[in-house]
Amino acid sequence: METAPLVSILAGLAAMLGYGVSDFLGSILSKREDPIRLNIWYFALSAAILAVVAAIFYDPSQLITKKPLSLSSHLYSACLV
Amino acid sequence: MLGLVFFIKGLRAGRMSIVIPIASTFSIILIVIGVLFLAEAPTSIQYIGIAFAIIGTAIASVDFRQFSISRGVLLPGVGYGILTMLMWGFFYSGIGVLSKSMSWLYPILISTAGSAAILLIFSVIKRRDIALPLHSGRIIIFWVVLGTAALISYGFGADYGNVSLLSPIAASSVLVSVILGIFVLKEKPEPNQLIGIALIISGIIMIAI
Repeated sequence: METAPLVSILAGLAAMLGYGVSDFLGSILSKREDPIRLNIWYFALSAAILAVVAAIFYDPSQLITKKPLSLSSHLYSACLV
Repeated sequence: MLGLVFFIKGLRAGRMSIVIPIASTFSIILIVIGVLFLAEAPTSIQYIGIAFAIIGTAIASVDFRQFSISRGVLLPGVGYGILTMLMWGFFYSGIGVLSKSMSWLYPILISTAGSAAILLIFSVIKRRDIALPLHSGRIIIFWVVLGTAALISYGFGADYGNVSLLSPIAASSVLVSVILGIFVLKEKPEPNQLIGIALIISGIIMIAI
């Protein structure tokens, strides 16, 4: 099998497992906590983890310079929020 | 974040059995984006596997006991389910498209931090309690770490693999939730959940062939 399909399948399975267990825990939590408060903490802690991953594995200058970026790419990133 | 807002509104306006199956088909959008804009070309068997995974996810998410109550009318929550599907489709396809021109981590980091900031501002304006519920702290940590790890896996896969193959597998997470419900909460699976699980597993095997 070529590399790209193999990476897609392995990454997809890892994401499926992570989302599945996370959704399961989220459904337990949402029954006893305020969903807005939960999601603030979810996004804040998740952003902190991603920032740590970025700091460890990426040179900040390489984070957004895989190719020269257009203004539309930055705007598109902002739209994902 | 809009996807999450529509999802919660849909759950409040309608039924979980309507909103979740519709929203869970968002990977259709990603496959269209992957094929049209990222020049990905799944094989015929992989297309069948993708269809199995998406249909299996929708079937496993439906609660037919609730569904039968409002037969014949447009069920509450359908609109929010469609909006959630579109928002999630846009979000994940955005990661896929952007990962081809920049690090996959950048759009994920921006969207996650931005969502936290918007929810925090909203809560401060509305004077809502935002303290971390410490009595649920351990579960929250696991919830966040696993959800973030899944997002990282998706971003990595979108960067180095094919979005059209990755997304239907990642979106089949209902498979894991149902299995956990059976083994951890001792829930009895419904026939449609078993059919959905069988379709998802068959679909993943076909994608992997």
